[in-house]
Amino acid sequence: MSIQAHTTPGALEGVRVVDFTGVIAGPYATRLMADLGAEVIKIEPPVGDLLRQTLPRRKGRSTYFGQLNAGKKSICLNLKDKRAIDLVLKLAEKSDVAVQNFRPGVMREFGLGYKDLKAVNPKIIYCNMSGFGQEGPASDWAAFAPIIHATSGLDLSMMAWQEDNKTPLNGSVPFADYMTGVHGNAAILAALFRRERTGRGEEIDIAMTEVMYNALTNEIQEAKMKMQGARLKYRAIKAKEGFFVVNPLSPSNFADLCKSCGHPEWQTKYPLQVPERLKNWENLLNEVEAWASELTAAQAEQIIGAGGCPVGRLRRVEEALAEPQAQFRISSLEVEDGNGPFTVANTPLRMCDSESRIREHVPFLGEHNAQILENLLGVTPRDFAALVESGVVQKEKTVA
Amino acid sequence: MSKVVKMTAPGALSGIRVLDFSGAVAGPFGARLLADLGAEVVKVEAPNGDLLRGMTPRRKGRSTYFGQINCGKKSLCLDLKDKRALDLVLKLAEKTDVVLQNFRPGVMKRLKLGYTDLRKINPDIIYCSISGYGQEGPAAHWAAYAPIVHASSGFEHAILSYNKNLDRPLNGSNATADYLAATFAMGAISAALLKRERTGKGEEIDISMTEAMQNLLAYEIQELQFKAERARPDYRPIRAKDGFILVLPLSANNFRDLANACGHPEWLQKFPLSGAERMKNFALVLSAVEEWAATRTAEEAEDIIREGGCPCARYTDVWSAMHGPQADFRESAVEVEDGSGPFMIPASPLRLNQSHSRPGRYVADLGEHNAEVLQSWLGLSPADTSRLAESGVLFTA
Repeated sequence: MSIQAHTTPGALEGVRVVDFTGVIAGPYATRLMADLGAEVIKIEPPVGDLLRQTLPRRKGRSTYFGQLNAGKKSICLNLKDKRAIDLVLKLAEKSDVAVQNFRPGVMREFGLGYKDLKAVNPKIIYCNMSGFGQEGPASDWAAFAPIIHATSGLDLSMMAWQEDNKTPLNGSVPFADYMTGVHGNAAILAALFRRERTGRGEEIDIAMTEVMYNALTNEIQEAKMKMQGARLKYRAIKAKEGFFVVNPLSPSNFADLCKSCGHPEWQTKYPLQVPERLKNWENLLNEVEAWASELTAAQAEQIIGAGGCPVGRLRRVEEALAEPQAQFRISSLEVEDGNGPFTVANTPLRMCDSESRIREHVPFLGEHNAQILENLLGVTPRDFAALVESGVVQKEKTVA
Repeated sequence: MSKVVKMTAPGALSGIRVLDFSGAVAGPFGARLLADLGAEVVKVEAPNGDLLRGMTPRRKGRSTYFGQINCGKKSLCLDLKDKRALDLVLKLAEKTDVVLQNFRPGVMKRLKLGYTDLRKINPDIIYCSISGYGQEGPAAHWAAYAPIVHASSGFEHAILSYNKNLDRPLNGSNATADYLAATFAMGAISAALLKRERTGKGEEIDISMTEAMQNLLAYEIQELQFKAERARPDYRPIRAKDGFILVLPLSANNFRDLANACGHPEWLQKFPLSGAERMKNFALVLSAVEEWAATRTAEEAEDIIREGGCPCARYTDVWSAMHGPQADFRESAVEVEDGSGPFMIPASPLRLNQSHSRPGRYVADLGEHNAEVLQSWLGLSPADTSRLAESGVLFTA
């Protein structure tokens, strides 16, 4: 569908979220909700989400933080102060969803565990995200994404496919965080649907390790079973300039590939059926590499792709976002945080009947203190000033 | 939360019907996540079945790779190019809440099963499409498997940039783009179901695997626009006597805990991890830990450092990881079965405490539920379904 600006409200219009999360997994989950129109109130301690300090920053504001928090509201409270907890419980009473990714147990210590919130709002949907799950012998282990990649099996499975299959790769993109965020978002939405039908609240418990197990189907299934023919090695092919990946997996893809490269004889020379499948696959890729040695990766991609076989040139993300397809879909767009605009990746899902896109504004720390406490909780301006005075509510930081 | 309470409350999506036209990984895993929450998922397969049914590992002809991604669904097998089969599917589409498909864009339209076709007969249907590049636009028709999307989205390049010792991209390994797109689909479908409940309106959802992967590159996308003043230290594996560990002394506390746990408090002064020399010193700390770990097994090193409080992990294979004490506690691995016997799969990572959220136990053979689905959804009689099977409209394995 084309990506016109929607005038219809987002699917989550009217849903209010109190968001206690920090860093990546939790904030990404709630940003996806904001993309669909939910009102997300980010509750931050006086130092703010750690990610606000993360590079790259301009004039003290992190755009990394910005990409993961656009469209939310921020209120900044001292959660170690009982009066702040009382305010948060009042907010929870008026909210549909609470989300947190502290180390298990921390929210309970604040007096903000599921039981505490359920007591004031029986229908609340409370989502926990953590490295290993809310309970159990490993639940209190620290869990950054690279740790999860190592303990869950992801790193060793990636290593096993490499030419140097003796040393794990360096930690890189924190996919466990993002994938956990997407699971969190999805689980909350399913629970909201159920609440709409049954009137019942829910507690959700997501473990990053299990997110990664779910992405390792082949490895789990081959662990205990004799393989009749190991999986093909998907290696990149070197062109005159650059690299590309080609996947002639089905017979018709294979036929398309041979035809576009002008080598119909490859089809009979390297049949991709057992028993010689793996050897023929290697030989075929070597032939494609020889064929591509006079072409740039972009030319090879164009020729093979136009012929119908799945192919992709290795791109930098900025090249990918500049492609006509990305422009057409508005795969990236500008947001702003008070220090000027910057480009972020848009949400990957479009809905034809409701708005689904990242929202423009990144809140500064405590930007919505007064708006939320006065409008939502009915705190008078005078009481609000007193709360700020006594350090329960932190003064908003318009200048970082 | 519970040590995996056996929930008797129905799943969050119980009562929801899904027609699943998808194949391979992205679509089927999305539909399985719906089935885990209690949706009735009918997998519509062509006579030769989902490609994944042929994938290794197989026992007695049945793929457990397929099984992990399709347990809990029903299978209906017919040829969508046969007009009689198409008519049956259109009738099922009238009765369904959700359609999920991941053909190359345009295929469902040509089969007369596009969103506009189905909306005519079922106006509040929720129709979700997953594809490599999106349903429309100049690249929409390009074929895409996960490794292709990893290369063309910028993802592989980003991974490479953290491994400066490599001079070529990594070999493709895991189908991240597929699993990620699947989870997005499950979330988007749930959001649309909620909206339909509130407004009575249906929805079309269009998920691009390329954009899903670009969403994982928040740091890289921002670094391109605003040159960061300093790069991140390499999170490199540390070699122990018999394997590898990863150590991340990222905060001052973590660093203190690490130095104490290894019995080298002098590291704190020797390699200060704040200030101008942070990057260099981080690498030196890792080398010092490597020297310390050389006489210890990875497991010993992990225990000592982790007990001390610094984030640390031993590189573990997924099978062992799924069978450790924590995984046992949560029942991270569950048994399912197909006609060739039982096997283990990972439970979906999300537990809903108040309602059922577990993979279904059984993996359907091709066409196993032909009669059941047509009888229960459309009210056909057993005689009707036998006739359809005899006349070649319905197929089985």
